[in-house]
Amino acid sequence: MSATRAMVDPIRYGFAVGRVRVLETRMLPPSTYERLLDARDFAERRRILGETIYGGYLERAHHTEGIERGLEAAVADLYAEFLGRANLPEPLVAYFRARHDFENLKGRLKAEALGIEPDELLSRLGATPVEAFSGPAEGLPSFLRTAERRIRAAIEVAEGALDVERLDEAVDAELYAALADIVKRAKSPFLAALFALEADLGNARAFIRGRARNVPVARMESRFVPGGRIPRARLVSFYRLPIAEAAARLAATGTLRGIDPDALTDPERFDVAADVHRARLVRTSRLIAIGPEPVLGYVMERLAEVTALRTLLIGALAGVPREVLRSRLEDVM
Amino acid sequence: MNETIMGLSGIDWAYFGAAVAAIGGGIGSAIGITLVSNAATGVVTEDPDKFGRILPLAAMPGTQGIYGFITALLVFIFFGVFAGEVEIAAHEGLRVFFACLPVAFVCMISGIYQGATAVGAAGMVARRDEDAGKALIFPALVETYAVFSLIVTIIMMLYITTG
Repeated sequence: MSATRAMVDPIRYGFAVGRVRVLETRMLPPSTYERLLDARDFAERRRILGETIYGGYLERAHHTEGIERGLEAAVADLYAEFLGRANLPEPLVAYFRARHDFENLKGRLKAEALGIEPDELLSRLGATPVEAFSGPAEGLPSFLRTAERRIRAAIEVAEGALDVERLDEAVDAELYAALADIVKRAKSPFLAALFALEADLGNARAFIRGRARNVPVARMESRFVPGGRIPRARLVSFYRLPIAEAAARLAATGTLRGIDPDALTDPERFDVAADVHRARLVRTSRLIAIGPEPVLGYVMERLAEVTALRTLLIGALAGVPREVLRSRLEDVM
Repeated sequence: MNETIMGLSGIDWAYFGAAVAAIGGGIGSAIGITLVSNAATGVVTEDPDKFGRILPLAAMPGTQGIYGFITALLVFIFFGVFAGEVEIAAHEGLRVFFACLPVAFVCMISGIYQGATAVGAAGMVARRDEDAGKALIFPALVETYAVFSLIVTIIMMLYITTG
């Protein structure tokens, strides 16, 4: 640690890191997940969660919609009560909230293409007020206005008609371009590593799904997002190889090194392997005494916890077998 | 006793040394306490019960300022400033100034780094109450060098007054 960092980081991040060190102790331990998996029904799971920080959010949940609402409220509080009050530099906060802004932008465009009201497709987790996505484009902040213009140009098939099939990839491309800009402003090596890993994992997911659906190589290049450590040209060259060889090459490249190659041939196994791989990087943040890393790591771990809870609670309600659920929670257990 | 070195008389050099020691130690302590207090405030915000366990960590970098203050006091006592009998030759005043430098520099640097070390230790206390004792040890290791510098300064001043 340089002398400047030794003085500046505790002043800038000390308060947030102090809070993180206590809040980390309130995260769900593996034993709680075991109890949740073993629980007979949702009422028992709700009772177990009543002993945790999620109790208040899920006490009125009885079905999928209630669980989604409760967990969204938990994330909203994480952003408002923790991120918003931690005196963190603006880009660190923006990194998390920008995703939700772009998700809302996707919802707005999808609703327009399908001729439905956007309200159902919008979340309140972004930095931009949700009402802005229901009104005219002039009400959006300039970065979202610009992104929307580019997305429309990329997926417009006829006068004003949008190709919903290509909406996801067009929004992802704009999201990752925006995140790359935020990461550059944040000047945090950990955030840069995290972003590169997210981009590479996103591209690997697109790669595997593309192969599973026999998407032609010419269509794949636009599906790979910018910002990863594996160049898009290399991903395209791997895409031309037989699947087993492509998976072996991917698993030995850049940030994906160490991921199970077999998971790179199976879309279902990949999501779990990707979560485990990401969790490995995020956990390294706990070893750093002071700086943005523990704060970013904590937020990432809480988001992973919410995702795990959603998988477990909704999966169990849908009757997914216990062992299948357990295998999907590998990153938190 | 009217001789000077670089325009400063003996008592001027002695005052200069006392001031540098007090300033260096004070700066080290002020920055060190600020660093650890930020993290301590975060911990106590989430868990007020940890206040008692975390307070010694926040207070620890304060000792460097005390060493600087002690050094300045010793200069005043050893060389009769309080008694109003200030008579120091220029070369002796310069020696007093040099005697004050270990505390001035070591306490400034060690105060800052002790604060940085205590930030990590505060994280230990936040996670486990039982580690509060262990957490004190690491910042205390930094303290060793501040104590050594004070001892060196005192020995040098004793040598000047008796020699």
